[in-house]
Amino acid sequence: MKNEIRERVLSLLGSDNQQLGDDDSLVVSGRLSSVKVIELATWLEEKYHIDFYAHTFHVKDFDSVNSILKLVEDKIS
Amino acid sequence: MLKNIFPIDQNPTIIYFAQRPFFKIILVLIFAFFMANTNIFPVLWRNVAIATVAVITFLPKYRYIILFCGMFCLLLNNLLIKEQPDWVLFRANYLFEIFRNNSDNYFGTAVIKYIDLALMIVISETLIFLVTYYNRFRIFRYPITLYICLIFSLILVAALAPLTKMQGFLLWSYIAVMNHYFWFVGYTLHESRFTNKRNFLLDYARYLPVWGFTALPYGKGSIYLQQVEAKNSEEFAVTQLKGIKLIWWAFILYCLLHLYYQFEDGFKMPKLMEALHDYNQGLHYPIWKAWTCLIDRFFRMMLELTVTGHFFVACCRMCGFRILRNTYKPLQARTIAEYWNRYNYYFKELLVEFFFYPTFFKFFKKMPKLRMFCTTLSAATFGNIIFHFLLLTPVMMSLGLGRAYRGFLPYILYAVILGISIGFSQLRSLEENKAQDKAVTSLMSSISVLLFYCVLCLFNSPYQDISIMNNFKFFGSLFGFKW
Repeated sequence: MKNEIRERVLSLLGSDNQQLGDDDSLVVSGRLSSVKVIELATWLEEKYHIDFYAHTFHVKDFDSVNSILKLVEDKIS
Repeated sequence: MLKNIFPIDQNPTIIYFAQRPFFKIILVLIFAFFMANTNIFPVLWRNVAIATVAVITFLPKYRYIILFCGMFCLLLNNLLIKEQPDWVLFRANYLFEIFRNNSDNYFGTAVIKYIDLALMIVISETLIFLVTYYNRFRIFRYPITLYICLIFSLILVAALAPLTKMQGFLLWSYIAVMNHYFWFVGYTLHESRFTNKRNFLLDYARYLPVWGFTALPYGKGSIYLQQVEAKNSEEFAVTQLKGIKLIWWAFILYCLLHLYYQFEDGFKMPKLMEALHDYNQGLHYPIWKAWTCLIDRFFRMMLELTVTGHFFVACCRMCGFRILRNTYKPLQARTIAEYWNRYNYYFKELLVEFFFYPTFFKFFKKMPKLRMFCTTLSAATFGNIIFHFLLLTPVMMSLGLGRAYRGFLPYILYAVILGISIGFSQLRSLEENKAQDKAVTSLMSSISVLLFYCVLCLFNSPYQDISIMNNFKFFGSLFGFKW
């Protein structure tokens, strides 16, 4: 799962960001724009059948590969 | 580019020396030089900012309390010194000016502001408490919606209820203060839903931050500031060097802006608002004059926002917060959506956090394209309108809700066109991403985007005292039409 998320994040970041650590900041650092966050969230919804709710969604959960992984694991369990 | 001549924040030797006391003094002196030779901040504000940065540079561990003290100095200054221009504290000071004209009691009117401020803090803290500890109730799960409803209810009461002059003034003055801090409280409310790691000192320091103040919170909320805060002396040195690099670039742009003002004065080109008044008098401009007037406004607005934003961000970085720039190479934008992302980052982020994400995860889950389009519309149009309408409190009080609405019509049109255009631009870029082979990078794309925003800025006026028809007449004259 981690690799899938990582690949998806890398594809969203484009070719300039191939050196990406699992804890590297994506949103706070400005690498991932709001539209990309939405794209990523939509992909997670489709791929892992997660249902994000407006009042529980926080962009901080998308700030690194590890935090996304934690979010997905929490939602699935 | 000029700003990249000195990559000082990447040089290990410079970073090492930036952590030594002697070189810290030099950094503060350079910062003070650029601040002292510009008029972005009022004199006393600038002095407080320099002093705060100087103390933080040597005592970074006490950053929050120093920032809080800086904020307190600015707050006291507004109460005690009559001559100090205090537009920075309350944009709605115009409202107090109206009242003050009928009263010699400066201290009395100033005190009302502080009572309003205290009341605003009590009400917002109550809301924050309810959102944090009572979120099992549905109403407290959507604090921003609740807060917006509260403020609009107060506006309606103030505008429509049969109040005496004094009661009306007191209510409007409270609304003015609440409106001005609306998004600062909004960020705290927003963050309270997800964490209880709130730092009161930093939270209140950013209500009146030494790095500059508008109704738009530069640096977002305190949780975000803690995320981008320098955690050790090396990070602090790098952050401060980034601040110095940015303020040096901002200073160059500031000089260019003032050269531009000189050029503008010499050329005697009417400002857009003057031009619209000319149209109101029945005058009509030839095509070249209408275009020159519009292009002048577009570039002046862009340059002014860039310079102010750079100074604010540089000052914030000098305090140890590695926040992103407010304006980032807008001339390089290839799409309408990209320009919007680059032009005014903290405004865009505010709309994204409070309108874009909540709408996206609530509506049209089965229809991806409609979902994205409506989400964009909710932020760039609806959120944009709310943000700017709330700043019209003085107009609402002095001229009434109807006049404020009529004066606001051009901006509503602006926000609607902007939202629809960004929506389509985003849908288009999503499709291109999927194809992964159609990067739009031509010069023509950039020029088209700039042209679009240039024409649109004709309506980018949060309040005008003449009819929107004059904007349309001006628009017609851009293409040689006259009516």
